[in-house]
Amino acid sequence: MTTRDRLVVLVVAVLAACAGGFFFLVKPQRDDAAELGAKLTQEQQRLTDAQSAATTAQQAKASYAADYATVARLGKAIPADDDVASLVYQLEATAKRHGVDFRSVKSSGPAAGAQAQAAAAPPAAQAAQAGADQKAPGGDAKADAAKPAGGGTVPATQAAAATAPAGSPVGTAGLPTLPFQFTFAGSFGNMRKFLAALDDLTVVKRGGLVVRGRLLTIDKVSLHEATDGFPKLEAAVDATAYLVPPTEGDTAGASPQGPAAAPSAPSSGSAVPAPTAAITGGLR
Amino acid sequence: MRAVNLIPAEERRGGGGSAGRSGGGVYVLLGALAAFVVLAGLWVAAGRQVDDRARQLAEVRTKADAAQATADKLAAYSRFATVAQSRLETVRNVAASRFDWSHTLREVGRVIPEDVALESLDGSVAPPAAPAGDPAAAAATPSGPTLKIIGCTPSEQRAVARLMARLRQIDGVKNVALESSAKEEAGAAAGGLTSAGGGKGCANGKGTGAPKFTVAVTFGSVPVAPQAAAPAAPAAAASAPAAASTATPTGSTTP
Repeated sequence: MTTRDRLVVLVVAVLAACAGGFFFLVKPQRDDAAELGAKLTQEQQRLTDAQSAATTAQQAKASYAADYATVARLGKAIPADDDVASLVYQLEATAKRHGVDFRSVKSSGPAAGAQAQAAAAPPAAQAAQAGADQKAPGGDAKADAAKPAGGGTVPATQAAAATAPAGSPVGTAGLPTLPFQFTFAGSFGNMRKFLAALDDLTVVKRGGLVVRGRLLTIDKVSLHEATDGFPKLEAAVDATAYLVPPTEGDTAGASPQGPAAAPSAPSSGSAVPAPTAAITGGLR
Repeated sequence: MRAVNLIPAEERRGGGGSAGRSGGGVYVLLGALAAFVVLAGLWVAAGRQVDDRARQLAEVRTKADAAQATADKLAAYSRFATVAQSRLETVRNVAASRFDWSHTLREVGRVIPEDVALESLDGSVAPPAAPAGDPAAAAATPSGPTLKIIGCTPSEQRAVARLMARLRQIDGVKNVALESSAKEEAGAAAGGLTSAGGGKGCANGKGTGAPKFTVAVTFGSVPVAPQAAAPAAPAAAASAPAAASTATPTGSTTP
């Protein structure tokens, strides 16, 4: 072996040693560092999210009393059940204040229809229906029919709610709709003021929400000459009332001391609770 | 005669060439040493980086777990705040998007001419359903609230024309269309909802027929709060084209 050959062998050996050292010692360390860097980024993101959630939660805790008061006040506008008695009382009082005669009220919610169907069905059919309800709480065809096509929520606007099926969840809060039909009698001017007063039961003023009673959207108004003759008119009014989602209840399980510990479990369906009364005839 | 160098090879000047006596081996060793130093430096730096990141990771994990525990502990408050906010927004949006029937009726009463009496007034917020399979008819279908006014006038047909012109002055009115106007036998039409004449009806006392008319008034779309239409389901949006419109009938809605 010549000197040159020995030199070449030496160079190759040194290069091999360097490569081996890099690949077996340095590179694994660098890979570990890169992996830890990725994990660190993930954890930092988790930390940011958790801190954000914690800050939000702390703010929510600080504003709990105000939120609870808001929800409690909204309970007048959107009760947990149809609360027809209170609605009738409010309408009667408002009508009297404006010289309008409150003639009739009729609920045409989906639950009313379901009740009517159940009453007409034979006992066996009722039992089968009850069994089906127990087996597939979410698969009630009638409840499904009440939902808007596509299963989503209806935009929180009067126009959208007026065209949606009864019981459709409206807005981000998913407030189910409950249609009513009313009949009133009075003069043109009084009727006009009365309709304004119905809107004023829950109204947006200067950016804030003023709640004095039920939230009603008047979808149809039909004015005709009353049987008593002019100037008395009869007004047929189709209106939509709104309820809180049946899975949440009035205050979503919260009490003045604190909120519910766990989110409310979904109930067996999104059907609107049945109206407690359907009144027709003169209310004086 | 051949010259012979008698000096021993290792004693000759420059006998090792440029590589010296080691034949360049020393340079290789120096290079190897340098390479090992660099490698060692890299290894140490990488090791420190690993240690630093592991320590940082542990710190961040501890902080994240603590923050997560706080968030979990107060999650019920967050949920309740979300419920309260969504209810408030929904109620506010619904209330703000209502059609102002009171104002509309006042406007109708204000613009009705003296010699016109209304027999009935039917209003609806929901636009009528567009005929299926007829794009032209669908395009002509109103997208906003509508009023159908039936009335009569003891005057001639020009009173109906005047009424239509006046109805166009109501806030937010987009279109006024005459569905029909025909003279009826004298005394057929009487009374009415509102008229400047105090409900004296359409009998003109001349024995001639008074025109009875049907007029359809279409309003612009009910205004929609910007955030209200966000969660719209496709079907719901399709059934309520008014919700997506930004046209606002000034003054005809709830303030």
